[in-house]
Amino acid sequence: MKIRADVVRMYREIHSWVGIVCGLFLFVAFYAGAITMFERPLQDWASPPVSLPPPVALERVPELLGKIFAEHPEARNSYTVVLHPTPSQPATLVWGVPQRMHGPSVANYSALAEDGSLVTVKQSPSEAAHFINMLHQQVGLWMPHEAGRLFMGIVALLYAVALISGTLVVLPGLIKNLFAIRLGQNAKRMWLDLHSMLGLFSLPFHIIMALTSVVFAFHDEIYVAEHALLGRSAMHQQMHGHSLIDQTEGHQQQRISGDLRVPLEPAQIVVAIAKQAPGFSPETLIYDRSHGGHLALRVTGSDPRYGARGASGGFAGVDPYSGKLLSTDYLPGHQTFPMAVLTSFFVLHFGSFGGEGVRWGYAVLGLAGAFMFYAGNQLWIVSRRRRERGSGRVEDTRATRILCSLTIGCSLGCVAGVSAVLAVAPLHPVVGKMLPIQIVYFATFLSCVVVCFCFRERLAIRLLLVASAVLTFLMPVSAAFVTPLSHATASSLIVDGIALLYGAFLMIWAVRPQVGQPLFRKESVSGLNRA
Amino acid sequence: MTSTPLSSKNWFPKASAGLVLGLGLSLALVGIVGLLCHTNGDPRSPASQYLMWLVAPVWTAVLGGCFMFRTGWRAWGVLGAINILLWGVYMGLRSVIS
Repeated sequence: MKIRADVVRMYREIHSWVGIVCGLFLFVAFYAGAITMFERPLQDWASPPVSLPPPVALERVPELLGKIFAEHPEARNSYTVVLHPTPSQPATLVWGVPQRMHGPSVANYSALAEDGSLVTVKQSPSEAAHFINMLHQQVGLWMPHEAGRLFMGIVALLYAVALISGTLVVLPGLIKNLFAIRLGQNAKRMWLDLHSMLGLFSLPFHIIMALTSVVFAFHDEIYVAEHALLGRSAMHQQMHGHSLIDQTEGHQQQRISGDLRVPLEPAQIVVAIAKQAPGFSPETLIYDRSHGGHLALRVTGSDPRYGARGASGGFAGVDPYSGKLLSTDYLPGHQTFPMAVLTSFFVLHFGSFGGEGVRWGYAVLGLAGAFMFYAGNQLWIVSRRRRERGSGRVEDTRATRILCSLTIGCSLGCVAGVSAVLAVAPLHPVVGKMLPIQIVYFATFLSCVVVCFCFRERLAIRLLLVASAVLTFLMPVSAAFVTPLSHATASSLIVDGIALLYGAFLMIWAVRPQVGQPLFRKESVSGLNRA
Repeated sequence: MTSTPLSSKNWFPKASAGLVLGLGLSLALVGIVGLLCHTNGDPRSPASQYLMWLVAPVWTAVLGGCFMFRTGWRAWGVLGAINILLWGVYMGLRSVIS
């Protein structure tokens, strides 16, 4: 493909500057995002065993509900029936969750003892997995959520510019360089080949991520603008007003009749949903009385054949008295065509389709993306260094040195920090709260950056990789410390196993002689010094 | 067409034009399409969700493409003219439709 030389040169310059500004933020976002693909298994893994009788069978939930309502009348306002209890949701009945909470929050878990008496445990879940998700959403910074969202939006816009410019830069030499990874003596060539190959082959993934991230960052503001542009006209207001009145009247009627009726038993709801939406496997029944006092039911769950709007599934509004589906806007497989297309945008960001295979694929793409940003920064450093050597300097300039330390410190600091957070996560409730977890992460992260400024490049990489490996190895240790291995679930053991493998992987990279170079190279280390 | 080569030296005026006027341009498009489709801007309706998604690709495309203008003045001029045109269309449609 032919593109004018000055255009390519201009976009190459833009690409390197935009890349250097947002590369490290994007590294953290992608690394934490890849880990967030496993937020739920990690949440289960980090949850300590609770002293509760085994979960109540679905058929006995009405009995359990009766006892809870008798002892704690406030539970009537909002309670959740968990159909498949897990270590992080250890009871069939969860209640007393504060309204409009993001992430895990304190809740009461209820079960029945053998003699039929009510046992309730109040517990706050570990925030570790949620923290990593927040790290992903706020590109690795510690700031209020709103500010973090807007900052992420700016990074996402820069990321989009970097994608457009990067694509224009590689297009002219596309055919020639497509599969070429020149692992010779030229460090610059090698980082460049790795960076462009990773970028090119995951370009669709990156386009999806850039566009969805811009939307996730600015959707509130865009809706406000949209409302100002389209919502104020008299005709529309009239229509809007009417529908509002209709709705409140409907609510009123429902409430009056609702209080007289008795809700269906959860088991009957499950049967009714299975009839209306075959293939959809419900996970929780969320009962809530906060909207005008009438009882509303939202059933969450997933359907392996369809993508889901949320990262962990879709939901349906259900009439708690008849089990009839009321709203299927977000019910996988029952959405209208326009809604299903909209859902697909979210699905493509969350990877919430196609089951475990796609989940792992997204994790790999995310890690590859993170490595692409690392390679991009390395490329920047290596070419700067080359230019400086060309002008007769022997040592790096201060700017190169700082950038080099920041690149290694921030990327490996993020790796070490995430491993540290996960290593302390099972030691809940001592460190399960958000603040201690934030302190653990940022202390690890900052000390890694400091290490990079204190030691030479190679030594720093080695130290940080060893530290990350050790912290990752600590994950199964601390998990076994809290939950004896004999009590661990299969999913927890898999997490332990993967932590061991990943720790070993980091360790291998730390001890091999060509540390800091992306691949095993035939030539000796002197290749780097020459470059 | 003059033959001065494009350069990244004058990135700031070009990029700021892309950022500000690109957003204005995409919002004007939202307004026009929304009026033509009789959407009321309620975030629950699919139509307004589609319009919300329209902003990101248009805005980022303008932001990525604005470097192709030879000077910052030209970027502000051309994008500004497109903005005036689109916002004019929006105002016209709005007075006709509602």
